[in-house]
Amino acid sequence: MTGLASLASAVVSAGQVQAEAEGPVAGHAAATEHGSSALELWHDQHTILYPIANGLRELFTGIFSAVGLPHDKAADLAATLFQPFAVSTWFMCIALIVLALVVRKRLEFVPRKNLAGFMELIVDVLRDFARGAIGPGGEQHAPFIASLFLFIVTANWMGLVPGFLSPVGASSGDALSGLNTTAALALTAIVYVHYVTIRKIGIKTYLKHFAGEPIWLAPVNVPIHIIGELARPLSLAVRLFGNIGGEDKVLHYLAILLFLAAVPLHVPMTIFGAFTGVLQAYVFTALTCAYIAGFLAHHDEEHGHEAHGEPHPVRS
Amino acid sequence: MEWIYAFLALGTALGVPIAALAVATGQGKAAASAFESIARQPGATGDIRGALIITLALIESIAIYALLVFFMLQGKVPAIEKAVEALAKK
Repeated sequence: MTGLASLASAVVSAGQVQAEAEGPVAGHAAATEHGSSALELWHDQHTILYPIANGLRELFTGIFSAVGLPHDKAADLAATLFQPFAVSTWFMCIALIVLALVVRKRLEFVPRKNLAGFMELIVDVLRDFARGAIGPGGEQHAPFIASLFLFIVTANWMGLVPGFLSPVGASSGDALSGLNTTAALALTAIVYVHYVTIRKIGIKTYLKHFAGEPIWLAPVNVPIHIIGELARPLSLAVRLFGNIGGEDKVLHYLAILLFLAAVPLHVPMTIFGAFTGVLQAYVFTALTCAYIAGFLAHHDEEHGHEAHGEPHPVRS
Repeated sequence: MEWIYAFLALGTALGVPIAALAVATGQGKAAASAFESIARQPGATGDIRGALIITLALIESIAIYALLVFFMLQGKVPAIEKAVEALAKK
């Protein structure tokens, strides 16, 4: 995973330099000029989510100090544990889980027009999508695909609500932190794809897939296939982060552009951002389904059935 | 010695627009052929729309890679105030 390793190191170095180089922005207070310790990321953030996270951070600083750590080490440890993107992600996960538990109590055999009926509609749409994109065996992957879709849609939309931070976007403190969350999502999706593939078609067919068609071209095909497989999580992560992070930054600069005249220039961009949030979640999920279908189509060709799912496995 | 920062800033600014040119050309061709095939076979609109959206997102991701390089380089370009100070001190 040399791509991801070098990307991770670039993220860290870019984050540090970004925290040093970015000066104050009109109408907002950005990160401070000195250094990039986790504590400095918490300065000057005046939004709804941050008081909650700050309170948690102070609480855990107190707990760590009570346990016996010296105060500045306790503060650093609490700030590292409760970073802005992590707290935003936990908030989102707790909200989604509470929504699921509330809806579960209200499920009925014939859905009515309430929140439970609406969620049943969403689940139906996602299950049909998984079945259509993967093929007849797609229903068993539908829970993972649906969770992925809902997580990414909620994460994208949180950047549009004033006061919240999108875990896959960009913040003024460190420009490339959202790449961590999208890299985690992409790695989860790719590990799931490979695990399901190996469980379904066996490891010998899986390794033969890397060797390619004429078996004597294997020394050429195997590196090409491996590099292609490594490019997939990288492209998934960068695509999601770039789209949502770029749109968040555009919203940020539009919102402060005519700040003193109080002109809401960012409203059309917010509406467009809602659309691209759903679109990027759809693209991420559809590509994951295409990767699953690509491996399974190979399996069906091996067994002589006609290939189902997408006619051409997507290679990107 | 300051020219390196000038070239760095210029390169930072030129990366995304050049990628945007290529992406716009590619997406225009993809969309044109998609519209033509929808006009030829209106019954297949759903399949064509799905394939078009995924293709547009794949081509767009190339511009996103350029945007990522922009973010990485933007951290290394010094702020204008510091550059003005350095030039004033000379």
